[in-house]
Amino acid sequence: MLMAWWEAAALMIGAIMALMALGVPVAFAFLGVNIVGVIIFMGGMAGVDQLVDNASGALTTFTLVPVPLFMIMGELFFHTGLAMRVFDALDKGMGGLKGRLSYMTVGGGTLFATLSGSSLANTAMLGSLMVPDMTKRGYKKHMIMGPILATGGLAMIIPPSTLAVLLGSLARIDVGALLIAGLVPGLILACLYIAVIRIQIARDPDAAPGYAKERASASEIARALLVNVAPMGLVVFCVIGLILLGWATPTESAAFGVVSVVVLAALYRSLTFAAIAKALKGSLAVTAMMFLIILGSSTFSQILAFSGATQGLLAWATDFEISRYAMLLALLVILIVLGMFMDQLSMMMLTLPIFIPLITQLGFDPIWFGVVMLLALELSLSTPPFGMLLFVMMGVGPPGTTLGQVAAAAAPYIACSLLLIGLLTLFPQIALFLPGLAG
Amino acid sequence: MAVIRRAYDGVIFALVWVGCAMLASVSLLIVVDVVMRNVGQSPFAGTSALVEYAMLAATACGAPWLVRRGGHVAVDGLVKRLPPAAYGLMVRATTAFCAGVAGVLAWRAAVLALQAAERGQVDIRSITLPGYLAYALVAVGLGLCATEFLRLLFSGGPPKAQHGSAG
Repeated sequence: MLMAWWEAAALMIGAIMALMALGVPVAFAFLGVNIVGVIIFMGGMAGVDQLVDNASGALTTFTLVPVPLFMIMGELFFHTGLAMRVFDALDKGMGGLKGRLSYMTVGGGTLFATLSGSSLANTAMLGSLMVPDMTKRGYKKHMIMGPILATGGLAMIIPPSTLAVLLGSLARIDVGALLIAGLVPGLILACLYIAVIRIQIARDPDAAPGYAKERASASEIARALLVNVAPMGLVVFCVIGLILLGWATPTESAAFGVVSVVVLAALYRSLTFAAIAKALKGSLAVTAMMFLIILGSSTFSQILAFSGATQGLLAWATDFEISRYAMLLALLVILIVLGMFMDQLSMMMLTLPIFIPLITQLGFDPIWFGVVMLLALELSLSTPPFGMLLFVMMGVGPPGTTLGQVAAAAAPYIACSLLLIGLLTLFPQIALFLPGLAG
Repeated sequence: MAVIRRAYDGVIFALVWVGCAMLASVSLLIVVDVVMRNVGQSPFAGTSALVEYAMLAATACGAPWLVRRGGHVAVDGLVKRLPPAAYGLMVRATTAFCAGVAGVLAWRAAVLALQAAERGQVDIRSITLPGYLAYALVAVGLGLCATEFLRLLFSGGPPKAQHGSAG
């Protein structure tokens, strides 16, 4: 053995963290450290050739295909104006309810989450749609930003979720099962968000002023929902229904999801060449960014295993005389701390090679852990100082918004995610019930 | 020189549209495949192999363009707090590092592609594809990333890093 397991682990993980801190793009930080790692642990230039071989093999796999397809779906949904139609229809249905726009954010955002796989797009869309009206109506900042931040992150949990596909394929968890396992927890989270808004309004009635709004007639509401919301059921069916029924793999259902959005946009006469081009270009940008990170980190777990770091870390972690739930808590704390400084994909790449064997050894269900990990990743999007959604929110938030205000607005919703993680630990069936039904 | 630069820029942007076309084709290919299977027709044998390779090819097509527009995700919160001179130096150092990493891997991928072509290696999937193809895609993608990083390094324009992610 060239070096002790802890030296190897410290070298590999430390070097990646150091390069990231210096601002090296994540994909190239992984590639650079991997070059050094294979030269030390896997036999010089032959190791570099093995690295190239792994890198090319890492992406030529069918399980990653839903990622760009979910991205195209979401992008098309926004660029063709279908999202606006859904939002307008829901708006009609709400009437003059106090705090209506905050509830709308959660309702509309949850629906968007079932139609789009990107939390970035979801948050940006909700922000640009809701912030101007909410500011004009005199909503307090935390009532504007909190629901938008929280609901934007739901797209990571509610299928279709690109992150769930990546997590499933990287951790070798059944991607279809992981996708549908996120549905019920995601909906529970949305309900918890509504409860938070209700409590906040009860404690401070001025936080979300009520105002008279011309109430649409029942027939108008029914027509708006029938014309603009009900047809979206086709997309939800294609993405979730086909997997649940066992008629299509996640990849196939994602392709049907894309086609269903195209068909709907064509029926609404909003399908333009410009919208398609924008959607494809946006999807290519995110896909290439994510896939290059996967390509870059493909050999990382192998080097960790080869150097003895994985086995050493596992033996060290399981040597502690603590319960498996305490260990789970430790893993979650690691994820949350990493999430303060790092993007979600990098976190997965760094932690999955250690976490998945550990979780299996501790006897937890990998699909259940996948959902818990997605929740931790979702939560980390809103934790300061570098939670990405905080910055998106500052970009689209009311003028003069500070990072501290955004973080404070997010706090009650972060508590909801933590509460849900607790519930999932007590009642794993919340997540495992649907995958069990699908067989 | 200007002609070469224009041609090079044309290649980078043409590859973006090739990548977009690949993603669109993937959606259609899969849907046609499933429909044919379910109506009792035998689907095209090459679908899964072509779709799998399209993932690598689309990444190779999009990656150099992302370098140009600062689209590769990076954690730049710490370095941005440095004084301007130190920040500039750090950006140049990290850009040079990335160019080196991409260049070394592109070189090895090109060597592997040539060796695979000489030996007549094949990749047996749902259809048989040339064994050099995957290496060649990595070589082209990372090779162009390296030239883009070098272009940024010598043009003095620091790449604007992006703090972003999936989900």
